[in-house]
Amino acid sequence: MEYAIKVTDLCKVYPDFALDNVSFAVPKGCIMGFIGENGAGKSTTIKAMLNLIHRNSGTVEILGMDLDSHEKEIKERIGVVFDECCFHDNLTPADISKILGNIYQSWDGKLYQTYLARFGLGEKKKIKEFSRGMKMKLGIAAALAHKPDVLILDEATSGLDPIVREEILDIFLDFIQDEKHAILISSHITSDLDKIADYLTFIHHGKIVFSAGRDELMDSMGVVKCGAEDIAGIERDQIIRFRKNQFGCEVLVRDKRAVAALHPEMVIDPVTTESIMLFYSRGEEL
Amino acid sequence: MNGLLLKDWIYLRPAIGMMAVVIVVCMVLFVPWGVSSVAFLVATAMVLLLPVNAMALDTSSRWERYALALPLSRREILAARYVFSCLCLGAAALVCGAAAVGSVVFLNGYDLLGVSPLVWWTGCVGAALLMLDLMLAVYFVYRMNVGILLFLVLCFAPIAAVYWRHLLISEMLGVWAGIFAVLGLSGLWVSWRVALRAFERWDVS
Repeated sequence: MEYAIKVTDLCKVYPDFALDNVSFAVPKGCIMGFIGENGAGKSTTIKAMLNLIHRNSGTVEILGMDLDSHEKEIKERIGVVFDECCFHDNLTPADISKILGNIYQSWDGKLYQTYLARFGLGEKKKIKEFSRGMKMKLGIAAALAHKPDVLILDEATSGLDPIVREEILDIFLDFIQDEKHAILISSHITSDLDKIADYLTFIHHGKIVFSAGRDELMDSMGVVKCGAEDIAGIERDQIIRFRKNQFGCEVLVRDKRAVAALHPEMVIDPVTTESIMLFYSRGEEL
Repeated sequence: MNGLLLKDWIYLRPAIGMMAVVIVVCMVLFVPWGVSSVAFLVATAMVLLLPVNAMALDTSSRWERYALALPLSRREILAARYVFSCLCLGAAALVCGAAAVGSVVFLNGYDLLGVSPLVWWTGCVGAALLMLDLMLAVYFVYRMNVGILLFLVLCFAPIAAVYWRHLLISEMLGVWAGIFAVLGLSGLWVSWRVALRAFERWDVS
């Protein structure tokens, strides 16, 4: 499999937080959702992947090139969207085209204008007159106008209303139609990732908990609803996490079919990205 | 780097236009009356506001985080800031220099304290360059709002002038102008080295 992004053993130590051997890979032609609660290390990982912060150790390969030795070439071929608009309020989309046209070698002013028209953004309108959704769309237009092969999005859909989010997700799905492209999108809005992500990487307290295909996860994992005393009956190696509530217990199991075969009396619900996140963040280990 | 220079130009175009008008008005008001030093002081102090504004705007819009994700090295980002600041000061120095030469050639002019306008020009531009060196280095090392620093220095300068008035004699002004010019020029290299070292180590927050 060809990978668009490959992060290996990435470490970054702060006095109160650390990224601990973060490793994952995004195949070409795929969207990877990077999930985790606030403060889990999503943005820190993305910053380290872009050399916005200095790594203590680990390697980052993007489009088959090492970030340290080919930083400029890589950045020429990726588009980045952050959680907030980084353009000053007094600029207009036309100004941004002039600025970025002098920075990216492959900047395509016409393509940028096409995106602006598609998103309904006036070229001569000042950014201060834009809503948050419009600013995000502007950021995406700017990220796409130099025809990148990889998009890296850090909470790009947070704080947007569902309609704008839906529109933006459609753009990402369009982008990925070309099998050479890939997207890494960090978000804690799991419903968005349920719609578009092919792979999920979950980070918790600076450590990668899992990185796998979303369908594979949804297909294998399940949530067993049972009484607190029934947990003991479930095979220990099947239990990932459990949560107690006033009605009994919910248990996240590794292989719902195997559990169903052994315990046909148990009710097993399908999992969602959100429920997986909740189990890992707030559930208990046996 | 051209893109970054263009960004600063677009950001600050209205302010630059307004400053150009003020500087020209000052020249017209003061130079023919033999007090070109006032126009030079106003011009250089105003021009120092441009990099301060550019840095404040970059900080408020979190531009540097975005710039570091663009195909630009940290050295290029820093160089663009230095080049833009020096271009602003250079443009002001050219205008003031032309006024100083004009004052000497056509008006046979002597400025305050009977000193040639060329001495005042050298001193003002040198002091402004020294201040610029300091501001850029402080910004990139401590990431602080250097507007406050500029304000403090501008407030302190007249007080210092009164306190050390015995040093402001016409014979000494030439020496001071030379010292400022040398310190300003050599300080630019020191400032660049210090800022580059800090910026290359800087982690985006």
